[in-house]
Amino acid sequence: MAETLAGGAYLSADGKTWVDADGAPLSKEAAAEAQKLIEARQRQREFDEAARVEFEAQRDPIARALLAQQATRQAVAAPRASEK
Amino acid sequence: MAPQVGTYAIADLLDVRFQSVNEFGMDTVVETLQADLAAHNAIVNEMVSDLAVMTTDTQAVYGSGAVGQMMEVDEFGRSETQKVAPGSTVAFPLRLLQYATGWTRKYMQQATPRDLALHQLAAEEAHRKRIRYDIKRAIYFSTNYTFTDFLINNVSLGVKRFLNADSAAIPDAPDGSTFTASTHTHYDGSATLTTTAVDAAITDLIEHGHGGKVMLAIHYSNAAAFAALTGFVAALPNYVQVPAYNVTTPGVRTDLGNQYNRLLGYYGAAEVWIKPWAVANYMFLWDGGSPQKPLAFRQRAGGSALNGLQIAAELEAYPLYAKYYEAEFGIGVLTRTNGVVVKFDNATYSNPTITE
Repeated sequence: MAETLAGGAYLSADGKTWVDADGAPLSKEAAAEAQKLIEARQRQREFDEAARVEFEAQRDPIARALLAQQATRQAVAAPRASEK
Repeated sequence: MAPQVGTYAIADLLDVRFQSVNEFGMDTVVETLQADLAAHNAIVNEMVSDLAVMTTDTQAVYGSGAVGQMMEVDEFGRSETQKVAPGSTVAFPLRLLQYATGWTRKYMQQATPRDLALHQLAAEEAHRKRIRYDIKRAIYFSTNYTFTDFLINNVSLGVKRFLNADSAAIPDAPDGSTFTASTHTHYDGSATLTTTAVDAAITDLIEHGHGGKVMLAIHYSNAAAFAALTGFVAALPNYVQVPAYNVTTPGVRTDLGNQYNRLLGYYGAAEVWIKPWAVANYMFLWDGGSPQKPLAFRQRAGGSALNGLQIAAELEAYPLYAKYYEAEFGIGVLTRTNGVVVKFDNATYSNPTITE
């Protein structure tokens, strides 16, 4: 569910003025707090999206085959500790 | 000889380009234009009814307040009486809009039925444009406002938007979970269009019980970006033949010839539509199968004679003649939970610039 600052925090059409749910201007402190909340939410969403992309790649049989091939090459390229 | 049955329609007037109105017959022209106006109003009502309830009410109550709780008692117990809040009030504006057209007497002596038909078609198109404009403002603007009902009784009406953290009571979810009215919002932003953003928007809608027929509307310029989302299933055009045994292809087809109003495909629980009233880089989700529609289309009380686009006045002041088309309506949010708007080119939601 989408949550915002208590009372609402939205930018007006000019993109500069912060207002609450009833159109009243927000104080600078409230606007700064709203901005932080939005940035945190966006970071979480980007993390979730990256995790989802990775998960989808794991489910994709072609991606799994490529990863397996890459893992084999890396195992061959990296010498074993006993051989050093 | 058998009589030629039929009714003059506006298409017949448009064909008459070399005969003046007087020669064709003014009565026939007037009758045809009135019939066309009635047809236009019926079509507009049907188009709007996808999103809005037609109403003459000034205000309505949506949802209900907090649900009560069963109290466990013993054989001597008597629990306290409980009271359930009645729900939130939403109000709808009413505005008077006009489209005027005028000519001189000399023009009328030369004008053809086609010319008069084009005047009316222009008025009808202006009416449709204005309705699209009001739908956009009702959907995409995030802040509540006060409207003075100056056409009726000058009462100040609090017109609300979809849930926007204004602390008005929110009905509980179907599973009994509650929402924090002061922080819960249905106006969200995402820096880019991602599957996470669309999934969150769908969840925002269906967690209120609005999952019967989830519809997602986007602008035609965003169609390609949406179609590229992982998990999106495109609706095919009619010319693609699909074997009967193919059960993975959607049965409903898309109309590629209609860029502004067509089914694009499906994403998760949602039907993705391109709509003419959608705004670029915004998506709007609603439950199209719910009887609790997102919007209300308010018109003046007093019967259908006062509704829709009408000829309000015809003024003659030689050599000038003016005809005034008029429509009285307003669109506001009715079911505050049945609508989610996401701006997907910026993490912060801001109202779009809407022009008619």
